[in-house]
Amino acid sequence: MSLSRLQRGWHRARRRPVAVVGAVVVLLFTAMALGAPWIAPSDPLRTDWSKIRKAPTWAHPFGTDDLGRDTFSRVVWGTRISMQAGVFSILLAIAIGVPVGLVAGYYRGAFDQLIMRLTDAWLSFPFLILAIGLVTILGPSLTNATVAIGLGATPTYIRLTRGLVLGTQAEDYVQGARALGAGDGRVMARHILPNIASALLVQATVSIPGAIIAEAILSFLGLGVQPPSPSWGTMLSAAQQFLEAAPWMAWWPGLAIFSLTLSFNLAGDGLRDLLDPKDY
Amino acid sequence: MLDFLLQRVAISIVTLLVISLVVFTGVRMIPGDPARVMGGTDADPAGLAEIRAKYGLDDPVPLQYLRWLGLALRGDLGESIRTREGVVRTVAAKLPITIELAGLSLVIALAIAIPAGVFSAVRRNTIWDLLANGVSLCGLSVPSFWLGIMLILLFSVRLRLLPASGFVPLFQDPLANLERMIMPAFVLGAGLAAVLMRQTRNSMIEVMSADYIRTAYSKGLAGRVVVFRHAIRNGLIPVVTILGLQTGALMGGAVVTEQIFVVPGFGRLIVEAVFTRDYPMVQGVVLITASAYVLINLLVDVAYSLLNPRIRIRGGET
Amino acid sequence: MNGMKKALWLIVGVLSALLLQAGVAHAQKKTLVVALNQDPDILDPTLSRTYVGRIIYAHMCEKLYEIDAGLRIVPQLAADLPQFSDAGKTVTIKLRPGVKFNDGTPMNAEAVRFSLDRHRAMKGSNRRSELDSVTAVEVVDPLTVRLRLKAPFSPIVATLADRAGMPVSPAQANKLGDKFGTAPVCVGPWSFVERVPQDRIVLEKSAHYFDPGQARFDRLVFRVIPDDNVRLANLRSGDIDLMHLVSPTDAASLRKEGRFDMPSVTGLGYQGITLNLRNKTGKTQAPADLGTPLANDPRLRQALELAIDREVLNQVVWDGQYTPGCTPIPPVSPFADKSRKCAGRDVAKAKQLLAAAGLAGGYAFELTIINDPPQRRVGEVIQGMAKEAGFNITLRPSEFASALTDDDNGKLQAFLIGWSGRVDPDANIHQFQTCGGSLNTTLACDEGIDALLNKAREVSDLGQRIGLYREAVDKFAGSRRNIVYLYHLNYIVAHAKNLKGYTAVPDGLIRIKGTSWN
Repeated sequence: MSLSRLQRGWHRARRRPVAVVGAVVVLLFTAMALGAPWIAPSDPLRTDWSKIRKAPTWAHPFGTDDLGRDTFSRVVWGTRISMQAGVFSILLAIAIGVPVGLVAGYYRGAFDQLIMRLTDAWLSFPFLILAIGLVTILGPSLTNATVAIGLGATPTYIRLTRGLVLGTQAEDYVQGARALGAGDGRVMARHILPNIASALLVQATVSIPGAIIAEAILSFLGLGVQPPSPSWGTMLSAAQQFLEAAPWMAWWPGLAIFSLTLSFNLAGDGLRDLLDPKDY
Repeated sequence: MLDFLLQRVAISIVTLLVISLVVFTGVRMIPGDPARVMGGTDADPAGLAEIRAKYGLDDPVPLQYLRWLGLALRGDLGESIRTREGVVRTVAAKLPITIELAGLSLVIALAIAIPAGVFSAVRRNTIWDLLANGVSLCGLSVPSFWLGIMLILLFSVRLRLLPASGFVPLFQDPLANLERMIMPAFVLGAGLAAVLMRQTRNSMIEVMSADYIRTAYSKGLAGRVVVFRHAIRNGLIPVVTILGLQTGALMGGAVVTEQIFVVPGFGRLIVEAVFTRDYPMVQGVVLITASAYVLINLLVDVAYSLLNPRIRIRGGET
Repeated sequence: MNGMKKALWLIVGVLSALLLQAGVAHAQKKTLVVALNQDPDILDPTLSRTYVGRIIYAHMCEKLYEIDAGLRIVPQLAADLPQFSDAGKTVTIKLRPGVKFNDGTPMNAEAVRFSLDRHRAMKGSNRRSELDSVTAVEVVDPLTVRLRLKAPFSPIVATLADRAGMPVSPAQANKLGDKFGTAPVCVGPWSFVERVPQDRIVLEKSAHYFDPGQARFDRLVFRVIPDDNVRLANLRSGDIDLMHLVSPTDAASLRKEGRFDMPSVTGLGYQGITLNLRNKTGKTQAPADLGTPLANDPRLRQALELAIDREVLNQVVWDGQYTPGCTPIPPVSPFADKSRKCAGRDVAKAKQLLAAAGLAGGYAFELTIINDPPQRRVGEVIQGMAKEAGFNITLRPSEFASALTDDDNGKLQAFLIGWSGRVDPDANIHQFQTCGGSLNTTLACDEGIDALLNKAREVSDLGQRIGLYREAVDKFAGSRRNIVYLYHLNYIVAHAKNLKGYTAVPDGLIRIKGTSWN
């Protein structure tokens, strides 16, 4: 990536202030996830039987939940879980999907066909059913939910990588490297991978918000994070029973999911513009 | 063309076999005994043993699989352990409901996405483009279960405009049916609309900058004619592909939506079947879903190769 | 002109559609819509297991005996309460004359014998263990049936007041065999019309019922709406007329609205923590030492009980709508021991007990809970309370299916679970607390307790049975504590105010029979 391209990208980014805002909000959420112990005013697990489902006050700006815990502190700590689930599951998908897709796309042949049929089968499961099935087999926990989401996202990366690799085969730099006698491993690692990395990065920023929502859904169904840990999904599932009596319990975690995924999507759009050599 | 078709069909069959095998073993790996589930806390060991014997649950899994496959090939997917209704019959009753839901949400999604996508591509970088993009990003970002709950709160609890849930068969009372399907269809369609709108916009932008469109403009054709006669046709090809890929997502989305709005469709059927370890039902439902998905993708492939004959030459690669 | 005509036709069409709509709405007054929280399993009295299924039966499958609001047993299809003879080993039941099944065939002694034998012998029957004590069913005359029992068994009458006492039409049962549940025919004010799985069950007024005045609605529709909020929204919008199981946390606000009548009644069952004592490899295997202080040291189990405040638990989780309790017998039961007081919370004493057990530094264990939001909340409250006494509880939410299997197989240390309950206390206690009891997953075993519980089966005098149960409860709930009883559910129903004559019975079932619009 040349300096001038970076500069051009920066100019484009400046023309898209919304994307910058998105990126900033993502960074803020990241800071919140890392700094949860210092940001949260109280222990997110501390119950207080005398303060059950209290509307927002100065002491509890987001109100308290059904067990008298501070909702604000729980939303803050919940960021950590959502970020963790979103990022790690996609890292898992990349860790499996990219090498497999790379090999399949590079060598083609029977292995490629097999992989393609497997991903076909994989993709034909409704994702949520796959995740529910996996988590019931493995037992509900954050780790297992993350694994289930990661595995659910894997075929996308296999197909994307393979497609990108097919596209590079004809490119001069690959042909050139081959002509110069570079080994397969070297061509893949040094020539193909760097050229498809930006497309993968863009895909990752698009998948992470999806994974965050998936974690929320699984936790909402009780298949993700386990109590008393605060997760936005479990907070929402508790809140669902008090929609009328204590709507604030549902507002904040819902709003948090929404703003984090929205920011990711905005930032992802910006990043696409930044990295995409096509000028539109 | 025939070769291409045959190859695709063969591949589809292999895919389905793989899926059926995975589901068959997978569902048996989930801890919990279907006979025990039926018993609830109230179980009689002798009765459980009989249920297990009746459904052959004690036989080796490969034997169970072959037996099931043999019957499945003859169109018999067995009967539900829970309700003892035939799987095929139950699915035949449920499928039209989910197809209606999915169809309705598809209509909603397309009705929003195509005009919005084309419009924002044509008016690129105007405030309208920004707005359309913003709305579609919101559609992508909002968790569907959350959107569903909020819609129920607003339209059913606060405004009392729409019934919160329930289902009236389409042919019994179309109006009441629509009344109850509109919210779930919107929730299900919102995410899809966002995806399709973005795809439409991007491919329209690409097409609009293509040479032949520039030529058309330079020949002095009016903007509207160019857009409608030339650009849209080509711009929508990738949208068709995405649509095929999104069918699976639509089915998955139906699971959540049907839970929230209590639509007695396919999605709820499968969740309930998984939770009650109703093996024959899970197997049957997944096999049918997967077949539908594979079939739709087959059709998309064929449609695509008709739209763009070059694909056919590379047949089977996609 | 043409367009004009079209528009006119369109208007006519829409108007007539609207009129039809109004007609339908009017006709619906003859239909009563009830919302259930779960889809029943197969509607065959011999095979079915689910609780909600019994709500459907209450309208289309009547029983020999019924229970009333005071939990007294009264005859329904029987003409009178049964006669015990032969030292309690022979039970003679007179039948109500002139009763027909909903297919028009007669309900007589032969049909009862057929049905009870079907319950006792059919493959996969879930009534078999309930009718275990019966050795033979005999037809004395067309309106008299005689049951022969292995041994005196006083709870048999209560058994016949549930599914085991439901006669099914022999004609239909012979025709459909184990598919009877797809088109069930019994005796009832309403009869089965159709079922859409996971959606609705429709019944219509029977042409053959002996007391047609009791069925004031032409149709009953039971709709399945699992989500509490959605069920409630449907009630408010008028789409349903009666809602089963109002969530306790909605009850207070709904009462305040004043639009609905909301009878609440304490149920027959109980909720508690089951503490595994000796089940290491499965409940059918030999008991074995688990090697954990919780299983081996009763002081720990007492400390756990003392750490929990039942009243606060009820307030926090259930808005005070349920009924705290410390025995398997709910206070509504005639068998309830009115003098019993539950031990209050005593954290200091709990800590002392832990210290005495050599665990002053605290004790950690895993509590398995059923994975739904209210159960998670109960678990979290217990977790919080127990922590103050020095217990570090890890909650392990598990899906119902897996949890039950794990419990059977001895894989759980502690399990938050309940029992839906039966009229006779025997069914709430015996199978859980006796050595080798069919639901005794903790493998607790004490001959003294067994003797008391067996004796309570044999005698039929109420006062004597109350005394026996008091003594037994002292032993298993007051010192052994393999189950720590916490509270009893209340069944809260909400219905339109103009529905008259609805009576809540502690079994929580809905009974539309005899109700009508005002």
